[in-house]
Amino acid sequence: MAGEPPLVRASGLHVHFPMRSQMPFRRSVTEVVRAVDGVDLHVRRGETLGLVGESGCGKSTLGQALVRLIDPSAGTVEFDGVDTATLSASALRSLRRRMAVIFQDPFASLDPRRTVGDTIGEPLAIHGLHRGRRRRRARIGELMEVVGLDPDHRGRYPHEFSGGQRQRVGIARALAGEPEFVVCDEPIASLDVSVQAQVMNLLVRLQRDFGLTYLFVSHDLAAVRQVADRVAVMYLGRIVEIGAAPSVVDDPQHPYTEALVSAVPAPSPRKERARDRIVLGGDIPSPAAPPSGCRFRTRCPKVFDPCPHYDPVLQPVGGDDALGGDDAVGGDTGDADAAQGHQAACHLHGVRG
Amino acid sequence: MRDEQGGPVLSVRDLRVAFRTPRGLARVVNGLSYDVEPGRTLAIVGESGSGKSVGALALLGLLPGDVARISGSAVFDGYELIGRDEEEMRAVRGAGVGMVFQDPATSLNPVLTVGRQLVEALRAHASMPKDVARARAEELLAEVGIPDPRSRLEAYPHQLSGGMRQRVMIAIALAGQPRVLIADEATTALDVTVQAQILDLLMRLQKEHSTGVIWITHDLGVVAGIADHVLVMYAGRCVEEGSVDALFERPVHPYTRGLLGATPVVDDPRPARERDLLVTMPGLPPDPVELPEGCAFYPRCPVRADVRCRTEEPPLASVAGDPGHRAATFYTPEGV
Repeated sequence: MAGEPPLVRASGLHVHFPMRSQMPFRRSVTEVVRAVDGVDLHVRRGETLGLVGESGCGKSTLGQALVRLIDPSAGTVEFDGVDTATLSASALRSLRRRMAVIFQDPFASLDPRRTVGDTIGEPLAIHGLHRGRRRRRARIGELMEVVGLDPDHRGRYPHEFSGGQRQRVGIARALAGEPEFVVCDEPIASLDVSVQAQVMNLLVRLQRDFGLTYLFVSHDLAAVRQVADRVAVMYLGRIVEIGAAPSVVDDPQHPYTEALVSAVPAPSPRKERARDRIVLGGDIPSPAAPPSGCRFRTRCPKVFDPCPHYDPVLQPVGGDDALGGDDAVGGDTGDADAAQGHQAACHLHGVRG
Repeated sequence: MRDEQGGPVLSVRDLRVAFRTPRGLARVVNGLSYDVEPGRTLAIVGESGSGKSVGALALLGLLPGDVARISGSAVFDGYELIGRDEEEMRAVRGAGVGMVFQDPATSLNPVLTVGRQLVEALRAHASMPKDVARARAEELLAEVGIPDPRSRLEAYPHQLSGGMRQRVMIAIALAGQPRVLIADEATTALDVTVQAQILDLLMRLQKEHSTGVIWITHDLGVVAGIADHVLVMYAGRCVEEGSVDALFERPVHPYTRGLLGATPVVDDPRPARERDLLVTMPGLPPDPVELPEGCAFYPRCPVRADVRCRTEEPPLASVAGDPGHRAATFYTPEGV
């Protein structure tokens, strides 16, 4: 995989939303919500990059900006080496066929007045694929089979399906244009445990069968760990840690990731009794007024002198014994290779900002 | 069970709830029995439609009387709850049994300040002058870990974060000093770091007040962390119950085993591509209007170990060699 250019690359990406003041008589006063505030990120062809963070951290906005459902306020998004901002409307549209989104809420993302067959067939019509009634019908049936739905149910309406089945409809629709890159935006958040497992396994199988590249956006670290090759952790508009999933989750190097991992309840009473849960104080600050310096410093249990003054950048971390301090560099050991690419934005690893 | 003086504070026996629907009678809770001990946590686990919430609402008289048929018994502190009228129930709710629901955004009144809602809750349970109630409200906010409680009394719900709103809900639930607290998916809408704060808070308060807690959830991770006793529901019945250790370490019922296998874990060191696929159970829970004959889990069951499964409802029976552990299945897994 090394050497091959990434399928998707974001550089210096910002997405800011102007907001009107909530105060009466002062409606013209605006503040800016910095949902995505300086993100560099790439997604390699064929991999699953998990994007994890808590509500309001900007992870969904970032996902939507990567497929240009939202226009960035600053920075670039390249898809397969092409800067999407430079494309004409028609060129962008043909590029769109190569990307898709699976949304969280299968109840809200399907049109209740359309049959599921029509919903799944919509991208075919938009992109002029499988022209002709019979061919299109056959393709819709095929897509339904691929996601585990009965093609004979194509004439039914969303309300006739369960939550899990509706999510399958959403997945079939996303696959209709034969995309290469799929943003899965909290695809299992509103489903029951047993149905979540069905949908996750389906996504894994589809990736294998069709060589898909995923951005798997979720607040559920255990789900992300189950499917992602690499994990990016987002806090208040920034990526604070990124790397191979086993190194980020099993050996977190940013205090926020550490707290996040420690807060995920394990389905084992033995482990729960042994666990030392890091309980963070306070709430996430407003993305309209992020703290100076490190954004996590207001809740960080390890805050120290430089944190309010310098905004930390992502820097290489990890290896054999990273938290303790820099021992001799590991050389060519397998561990060093595994940790390669593990980065965290924290002054504990050297003040850089 | 630990020896507390007196035994359970709440005893539920053969609770049944059915709703009249245009399609017929929906049998949502079908013979549920459990005890809640002071200072202990009973977790009721199930997926949507398993009847786990309806069972709790029935105890509190919160189901619409014109469509819900409730039978069985629920004795709280020597007092039968089933069959009481609204006025009698109002005395029990809050003062005897407190509740915290999933969504703090919708359970608080958006147009009243937090202080006003707390004062109302306090004065509903005990006659006290307004200023005393207000002082007590401030104490309660401080107790649930809200910083600067005096000024927060003036805040409206929308001015608080989700975690803070859930703390306010807990403060309101505690206003009547309940002996039993029912928490229905109380941390489901919260982020994990906030969930950790709320779980910590509730466990501390439970210890201080020796409250019996019924924790209703679909989240097995939370259950493993806080429960003493666990009851797994499927199609309105208890399919397995036991100590938290028995249930997680030695699960017997194929549904419990399926749920555990379907739950992804953080601490498996293998990369995603080397992990096993999650265990899935095909299909969906049965329609409560047309419950199948025999075991309700039969249509989805990967085991179907016995000829009786299809025709006979397996009774909730003790698991051999494991006191307090019971399962409603004809199946005995290997090594148990």
